[in-house]
Amino acid sequence: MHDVILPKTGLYEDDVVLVEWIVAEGSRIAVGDPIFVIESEKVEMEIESNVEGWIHLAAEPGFEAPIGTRIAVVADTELAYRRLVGES
Amino acid sequence: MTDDEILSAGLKMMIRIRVFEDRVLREFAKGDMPGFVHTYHGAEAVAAGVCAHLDNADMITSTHRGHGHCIAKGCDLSAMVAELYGRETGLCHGRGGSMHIADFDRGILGANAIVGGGISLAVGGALAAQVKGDGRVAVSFFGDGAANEGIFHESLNLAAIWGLPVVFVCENNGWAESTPTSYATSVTDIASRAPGYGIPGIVIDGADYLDVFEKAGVAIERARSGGGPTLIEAKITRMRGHYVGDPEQYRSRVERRAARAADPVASLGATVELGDYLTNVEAELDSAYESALAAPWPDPSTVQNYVLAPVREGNTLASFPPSTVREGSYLQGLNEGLFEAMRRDPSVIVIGEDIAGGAGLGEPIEGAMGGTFGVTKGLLEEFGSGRVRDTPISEAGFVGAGVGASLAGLRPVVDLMWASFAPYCFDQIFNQAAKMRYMFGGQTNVPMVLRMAVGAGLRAGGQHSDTLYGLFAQIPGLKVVVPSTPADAKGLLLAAIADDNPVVFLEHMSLYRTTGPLPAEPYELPIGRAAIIRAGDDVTLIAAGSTVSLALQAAEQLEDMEGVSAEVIDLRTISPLDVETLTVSVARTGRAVVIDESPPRCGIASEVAAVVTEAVFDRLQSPIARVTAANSPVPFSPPLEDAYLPSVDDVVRAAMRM
Repeated sequence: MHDVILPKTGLYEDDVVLVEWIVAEGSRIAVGDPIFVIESEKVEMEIESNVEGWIHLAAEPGFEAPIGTRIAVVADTELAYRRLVGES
Repeated sequence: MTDDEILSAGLKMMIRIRVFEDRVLREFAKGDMPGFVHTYHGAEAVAAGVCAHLDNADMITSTHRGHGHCIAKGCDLSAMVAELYGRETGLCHGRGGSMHIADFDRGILGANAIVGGGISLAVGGALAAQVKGDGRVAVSFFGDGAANEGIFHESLNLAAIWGLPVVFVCENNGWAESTPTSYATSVTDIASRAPGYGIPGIVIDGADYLDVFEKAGVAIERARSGGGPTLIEAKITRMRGHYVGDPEQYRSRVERRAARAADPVASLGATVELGDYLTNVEAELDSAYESALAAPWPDPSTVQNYVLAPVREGNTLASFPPSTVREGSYLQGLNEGLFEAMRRDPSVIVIGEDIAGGAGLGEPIEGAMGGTFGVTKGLLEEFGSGRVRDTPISEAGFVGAGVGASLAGLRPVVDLMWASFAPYCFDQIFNQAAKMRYMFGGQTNVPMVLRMAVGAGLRAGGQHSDTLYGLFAQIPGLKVVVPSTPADAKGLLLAAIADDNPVVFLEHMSLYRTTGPLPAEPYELPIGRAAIIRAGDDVTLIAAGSTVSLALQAAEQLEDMEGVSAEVIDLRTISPLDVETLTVSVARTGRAVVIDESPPRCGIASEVAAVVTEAVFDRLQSPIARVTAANSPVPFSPPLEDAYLPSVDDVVRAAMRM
């Protein structure tokens, strides 16, 4: 299980806004896939995944929080993902 | 080594770099790593293939994107990570950070965040290797953006004319931040600029480890065996943005994907058996991050540590009383100081425009002056062109080379001719010489002397007459010395050359021909100590360089005409200031006039007035007066220049107003 966080993207350490999800709940993602868009320092940018697996989204677009706040988790296997979201 | 062994060693180094940088991407995002970082993704084969040919003693200069260079040159990952987090246990004790990693035990003369900043330092490192004849080679890594900086051109020319053992490695990733190289650079291949300097220039595939290894090996061997410099242009892909977190709006999602996929590590990785190498590096990094995050921050009370190297004991006049004092000129004092320093220490070299009278690397020219003013006359004849070298008119290039040589074991005395030319090499003075010791956490000293002629009054016009006292004195990491007599010129110059810090040595043009008592023996006068050269009770006149004689004349007038007893202090050094001597005197006299030949704003006069006022405000009977030059460039026309300069009357009037 890997945390997906609102990342630090430059010199400033202001709060970051989750603008939109590029991937859907439960989708399988690969390393390098753009997975969400943030706004930081008045600039929108796509954030790429640095892990692979099945993603469970834990924040809505518009969510604004400090750098490092978890906004999703990525499960290593589909089975682990299902357990995570309470499906048997 | 067989090709397979070469490839295997190369790939391992590339993976070591990549794993390090991938981890930086992940950890930076968490927000605990201060500042910003630039990763080496896509260039791994360049650092690995070049550094495979370098010994520990060989030197490199690196860039803001320098983690790969440092790892390939053998840096300890744990000490690097601690530096990225600004911890006391970092390579530079947290004074440098990602963009200023250095490891002098491994020949890494520092990563430089000034684009092109390391190029002239590598030339200087190579100059040190050549002068010492120790077989070292210097390699400068820099980006394509640096190839449009003046320092690139000056450095290539200097290295070429001196046949220095240096290899210039341009990592052309196609972007200078967000500006494409194809737009910003006038040629398709940066290597094609090399023939303009009479050196070989080659283009290599920076993603192909074997290509890098082979071609870099030839260039480094050529440098080591006395064949001179080579420019290598490695074409690479910048897989990631300029910095971690770069939104990369200057390239489309498709272009970004293509860049990420142009991966030299992955394409090579499929062909080589690695065993558990990858796992081992990851474990090494786990431990590095764990120890870095647990490591102490630097103690805030140590913020000023490492700015200056400690003072070494010298032969001061007090401990070495001169027996033979005769009359001599200021010029002669300087000349004798240079001779003595070069005789005492073979690591002292002298470089600058015309200092060998135009002889270059050839035989001395009969009757040659030795510098514009004759200060270096005769040095070439005694010490040879190895240690006494004319330079091209290339201030940034040769001052940078002086800084680099000082990092690599020499004590260069660099002659800049006129202080007005210093802005041409301000980066080398301000960002390089003055900051190296601090940014690298005290790993290195910068024992160089930068001599320059200052001062107005000779009708030399606006660009040959500046003093710039305040400008230099404001820079932490520099010492600034201003001698006013022949004896001071000699003793302070010997002290400056023996000092382990960069010393800006300002010689006033109006003083070169003045004469006075000059001891024949070598001696040092302490830097940072002012001298009370006339005792008095009613007012303290504080001066430096040429204004010392104004102060003395004013003191005589005050005594004769007004019955006022003036004490005169010659600052001798304007950074660091001898606050104690100043405050003790002014506390006693209760009044002070500071005479400064620089324009008034933010200058030495203001600084002295402020420092003394803070210390002895309750003893002052009047505000401290400043007598300075006009707030203008130095004019040419004699009546204007005379009006520009502070005068004896100005000093007398200021004293009498108190």
